[in-house]
Amino acid sequence: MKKILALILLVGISLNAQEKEKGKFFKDLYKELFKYSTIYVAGDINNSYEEATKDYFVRTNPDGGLYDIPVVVDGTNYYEFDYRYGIGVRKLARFDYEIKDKHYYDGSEKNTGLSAPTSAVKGLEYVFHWEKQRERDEVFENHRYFLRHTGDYHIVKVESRKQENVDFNYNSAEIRARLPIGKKLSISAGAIYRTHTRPYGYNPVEIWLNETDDNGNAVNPWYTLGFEYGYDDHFTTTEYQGQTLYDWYWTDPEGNIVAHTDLEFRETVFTHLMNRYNKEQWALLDDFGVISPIIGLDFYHYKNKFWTHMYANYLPPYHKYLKGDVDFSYFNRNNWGAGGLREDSSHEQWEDWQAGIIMGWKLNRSIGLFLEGEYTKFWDSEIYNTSIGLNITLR
Amino acid sequence: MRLLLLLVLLVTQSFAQDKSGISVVQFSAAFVESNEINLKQLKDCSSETLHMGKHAEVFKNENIKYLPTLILYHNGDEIIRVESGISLKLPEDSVIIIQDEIDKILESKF
Repeated sequence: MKKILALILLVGISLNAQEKEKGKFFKDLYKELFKYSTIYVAGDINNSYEEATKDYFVRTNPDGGLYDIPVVVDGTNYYEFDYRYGIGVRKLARFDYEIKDKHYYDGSEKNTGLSAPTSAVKGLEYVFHWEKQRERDEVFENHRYFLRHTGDYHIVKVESRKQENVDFNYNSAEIRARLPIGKKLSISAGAIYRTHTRPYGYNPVEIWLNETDDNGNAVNPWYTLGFEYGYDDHFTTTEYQGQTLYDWYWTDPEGNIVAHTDLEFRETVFTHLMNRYNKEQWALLDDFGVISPIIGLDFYHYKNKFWTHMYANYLPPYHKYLKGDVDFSYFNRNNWGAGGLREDSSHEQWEDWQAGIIMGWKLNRSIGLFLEGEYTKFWDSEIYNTSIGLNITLR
Repeated sequence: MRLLLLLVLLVTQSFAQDKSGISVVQFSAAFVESNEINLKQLKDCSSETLHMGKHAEVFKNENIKYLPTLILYHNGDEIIRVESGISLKLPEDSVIIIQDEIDKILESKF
């Protein structure tokens, strides 16, 4: 009996210890995953873009002729109100120099922590934001998913960003080894995988127009692009001061006149057709995925009266495409000529980089200087923003 | 070149006496070593124990009156000081007091 009791007691203690362990595990898991995170649902409504001047035109009165009082028509574009609503959860620390814009989060925040190699705090950080927006009557769906774990000696980051209104779609995943040098400086190195939808350096219409035959004549004269889309040209002559002038007028697939001369067609409809052709050709290509080495540097110094944060990411010219048609990749950006891809061409590597600086200096209670800037050069794309200023507070 | 020099100076200075970020310093001495608390219990901060014999100047600058004394710094600013008093023993809830303040600082960053 004593033995059974001892056994029950032992099992009981063991189970209790296991439950405590389990409880501690879940408590620690919660702390790591959710402590300091914010779940939000937010939206905004704004009046839409309004054109500076109203556009009017006249229409012939249906009950009269050309010289009767016409009907004045308001041709201004009016849009429904703009809106944006979204849902998200975030756990992303601000650096000490960053001030929370509002008392709440709504997904429109721009934090340095999203682009700097290291973070304001160690551990897990994330932003999962999804939103729908209407702008000038067009509805877009955007998202930003960001996950990073920073430790003393590592950085792991995964990001996906889609901004439909500017046709931006970017995914990346990176892993780096990190070496802290003191408390303020750290360098990191590793590999990054990035995707891009746009075939940088590939201009289909230019290639199509530049194609020549053995005699150097254009295989696709510019106006034949119109024929490809159902437009047609018609020969016409005009008598003017005893002379016979000739040209071609153009009709759309429905037979409506869209241009009265070749020149007018080229300057109006043709421009749209070029863009349409490019979009159609680009749409035939799959997204590209490229893996690259990455080297990062981050320096952070903060005191109430002076702070500076400098960071840089450099992607040396050792890129390798893992996804997408390599012929149309950025490797061949300078290899396209008349007739397509030059046969003797070889892949051309490139350098990408990103750098940012934030500085603030409170000279005294009244005077403050600040400087902020970030530059990103990825493929053909260059994005930069800077601000510099002086604040004088009168007392 | 000047920028590089400035950078090196700033980095080396950070080795010399780092109070950036969140840090806890225990000011103590060899004769009260048994009354020190284990700073490893504290989370999300860097910590250090300084003994008076080796860092007398720092003790003077920080105006340390009792041993041991715990000070929590955030970016060089003193946030809270927990002193032992004449008993030479830190309050039993010293770790909780300091950890609460650390958590408050962290929460303000999110």
